[in-house]
Amino acid sequence: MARGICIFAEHWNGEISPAVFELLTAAKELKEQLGEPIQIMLASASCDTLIEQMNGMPVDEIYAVKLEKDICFQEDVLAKVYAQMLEKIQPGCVLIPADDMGRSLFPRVAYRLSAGLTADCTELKAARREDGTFYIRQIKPSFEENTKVCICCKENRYPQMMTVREGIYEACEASEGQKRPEVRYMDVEASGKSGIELLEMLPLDESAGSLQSAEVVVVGGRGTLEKDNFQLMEQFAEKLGAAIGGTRPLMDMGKIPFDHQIGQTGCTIRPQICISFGASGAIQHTEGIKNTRLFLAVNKAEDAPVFQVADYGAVMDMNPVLTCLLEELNETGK
Amino acid sequence: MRIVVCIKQVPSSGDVTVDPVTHNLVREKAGSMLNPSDYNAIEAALLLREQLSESGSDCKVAAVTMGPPDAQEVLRTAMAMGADEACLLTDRQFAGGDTIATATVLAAGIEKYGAYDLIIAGAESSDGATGQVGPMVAERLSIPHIAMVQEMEAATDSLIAVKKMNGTRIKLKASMPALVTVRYGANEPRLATLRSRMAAKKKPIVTYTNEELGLPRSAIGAEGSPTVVTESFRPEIVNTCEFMTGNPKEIARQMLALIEKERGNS
Amino acid sequence: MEKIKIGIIGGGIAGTALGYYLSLYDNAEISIFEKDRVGCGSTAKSAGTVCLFDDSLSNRYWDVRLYGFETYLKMEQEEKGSAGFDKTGTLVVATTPEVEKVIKTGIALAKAAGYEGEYITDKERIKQILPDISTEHILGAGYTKDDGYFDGTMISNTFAKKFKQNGGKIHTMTKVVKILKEGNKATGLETADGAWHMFDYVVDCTGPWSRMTGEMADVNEPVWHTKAEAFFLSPPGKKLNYTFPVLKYPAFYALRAGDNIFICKAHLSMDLNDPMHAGNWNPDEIPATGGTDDYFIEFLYEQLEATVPGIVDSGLVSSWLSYRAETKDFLPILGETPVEGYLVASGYGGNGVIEAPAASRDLAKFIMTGEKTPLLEDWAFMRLAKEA
Repeated sequence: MARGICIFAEHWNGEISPAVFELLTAAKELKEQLGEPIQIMLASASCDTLIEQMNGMPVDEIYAVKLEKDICFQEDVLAKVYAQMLEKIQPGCVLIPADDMGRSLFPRVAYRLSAGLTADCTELKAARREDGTFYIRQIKPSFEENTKVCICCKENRYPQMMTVREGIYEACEASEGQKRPEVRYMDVEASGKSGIELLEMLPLDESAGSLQSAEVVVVGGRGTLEKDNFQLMEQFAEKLGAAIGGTRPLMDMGKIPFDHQIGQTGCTIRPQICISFGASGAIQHTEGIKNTRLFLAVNKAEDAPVFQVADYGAVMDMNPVLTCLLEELNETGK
Repeated sequence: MRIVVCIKQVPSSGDVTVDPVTHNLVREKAGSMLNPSDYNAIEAALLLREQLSESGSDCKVAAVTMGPPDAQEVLRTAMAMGADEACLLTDRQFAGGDTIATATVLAAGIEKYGAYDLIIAGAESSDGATGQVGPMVAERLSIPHIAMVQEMEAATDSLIAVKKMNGTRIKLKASMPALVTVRYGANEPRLATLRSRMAAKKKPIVTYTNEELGLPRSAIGAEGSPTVVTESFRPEIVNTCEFMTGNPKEIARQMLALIEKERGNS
Repeated sequence: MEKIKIGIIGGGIAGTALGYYLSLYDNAEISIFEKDRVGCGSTAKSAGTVCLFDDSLSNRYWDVRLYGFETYLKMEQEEKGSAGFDKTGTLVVATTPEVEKVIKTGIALAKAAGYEGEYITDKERIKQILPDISTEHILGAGYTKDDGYFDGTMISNTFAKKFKQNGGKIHTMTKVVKILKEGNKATGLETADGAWHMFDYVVDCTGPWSRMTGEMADVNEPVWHTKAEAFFLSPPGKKLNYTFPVLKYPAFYALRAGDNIFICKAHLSMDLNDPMHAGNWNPDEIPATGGTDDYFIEFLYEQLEATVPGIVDSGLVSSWLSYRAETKDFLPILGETPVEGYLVASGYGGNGVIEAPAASRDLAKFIMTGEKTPLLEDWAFMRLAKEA
């Protein structure tokens, strides 16, 4: 019978991914409602080292597969490993970080098991059916972050699999006296040769890249043409590794090239984070910003329409704010 | 080389209406467009075709989509950009499918359409944003995949792809046939012209219904989906802005904390 | 002095301009109600051309055109960029003797007002101004470098700012759901939050929504919402090495938008009896982008091949459907309606940016003093009351 809240212990370069500790907090909450054990699922060439890193965590069971070498890019083979593990563990649900690794690997696992997989959950709620069995209500954003939907797996479709957005849950803290869980090593069938070969890994320089591919964009409106605001904004963007975009007045004044003008006449951007300074928020401009998860706006006018689209706002002159932002960033040495 | 690009028609307006009973999009009210990262996928295919033709190799690019009959619009867009052929998988039975059911249909459609060396898809759709269908199609077809590719080039019998993850630039080699998904913004998609749009309108589109694919009802559409959408709700639109208070230094700190939290592992 | 209370529905160019001109009277107490953001509906999709001579508005109304143009020049003088002026100049192409005559008249009027204008028949010169044009089959072209296009949303926001400085109140994100009446007199309006606002006059400035607004007052407003397709083109080579002027042909017009070219179907070529163009398009159902029918692609191709072949191979960047509130004679409806206290300033039909200043100035005067003007008489709502 399906039982257990199983967490994918994603790891990279010999370290358990920080997101896993957030999943543990999520699992703790679910355990309170479901009463099911918290399980860790791990396949690695260095299981012992990784399991050590979980000391003090509220884990009841650890399932591990020893691999000859770490194969995180060989997802065609790795998916077979995790699928076999899940067939043996038979958990009620599986929690996975909604990052590049989790989102690439687990669709293959889910398809092998014909199990439901929900992506990018921002809230998980356990609910009970009439017959006493539990299921998880998986809530996530949809339609370019404009609405939310709740997704559930059908009855008797186990495991219920879900990737969970980072930053939603706090990282679980280690507690002393936490009982060490039993580690069960599993054998899985040889999975054949992978079609993927790792050729090279190099550190990436943090520059933003193109405006389209940037995850963080700093946007300047007419207000940045005053004083030294535009320079401050440029420095701020550089420190963040963010791309810069702007409204038409900035293009007219030659501060940005036309292909950085954001809006109906210019281009559309889809960054995760948008930080806007001194843009009033007229529709011709805001139509060009889609799908942001976090939109911060700073504008002197409290009735500026940009606050209709922003998630967080500051009604303030941007000059002291930018100065302080740069001070803070310089201090923390980022 | 034969490249198949999987594309999707998605709602164009952010202001969508969701049916309170089915929780699906109310299609009549939303304008539609080609999924944003699919432009990058099509461009990636066309760049490969150019690379191969420079070295004297032949390459054909076929666009495939699963959707209602008017999803042929996105196939026209793909052909207007330069895709050679197009295939529409359409059947009421496919409707309401989640990523598992969708991947099953796409994989069957691709196999039926013919031999392929490389399947390219956009990293994720703007409506569901799961990023799952590409890897699931690869699993169904038992081929390797690489997700979130930035750039790629064809080598003999293989594909070299670059992606970035955890602050690292990673170069991988995939044996073909393989599937890749292309990151939004990975390239600059070329624009269709009036001429190419008019020409695309005249090109034939191969259409398959479930009659041609022969998939069991239990594997497709809502029936073939292990997940269901049980509720849909809009977050409050009016006055969603939370105003930060304090002096500039406090505001700066709050802003940086929010950015830090959202950024996580990028 | 007792205040006259006016409630304006609609915060686009029509509503903000009217609000501003009313706010110049110190016994006016004005509120504007806008269901979204200022200038973010029809106005946001306007091309914003305000040309000294073209066929957008008959020469009979030259003073209206001049007043609009100079109002925005003054705005720019006060604060650069507040009207979004891009001084590209305009090239108006004469394809028939009739068009040529209208252009020449327009040039004379422009010169009389102190602006430059010339009618060019030297085809080489025309090509110098716009290298990508084809000079076959044209008689000549009128040219001035003194005008160009503006930004309707920026202008609306500037009017709104001045309006507020003069004591006016704007309620954004506020939808009007009911017009309150006592017998045949409008007495105020109700907003979506259930609040009642009482006024001496309620003015409909809702453009394409006017039919629906009118229904709330039991007034049949003869305004059709038409679909006007527009495209953004990226010229071959991504950037032109010359200043693209506003370009006017009878069937379409084009202007630059950054490095791109904005091209749009001319409204006078619309046939309001053709359901493809006009009819009961619900303005709330117009998508933000896209939505253009295939016929427009062919139309545009044919037009450009014949007239500006140098840009026919431009990339299609994006497209949208503009909102235009048209009346059957293509002129606005202003002023009194059969319902006392319920006035209209709508039906600007794609010319809102050009026409709103003069129309609003006159309508404001009428509201505050009862005095009419020839413009108000010509554009009276009641002239079309039978048509609705």
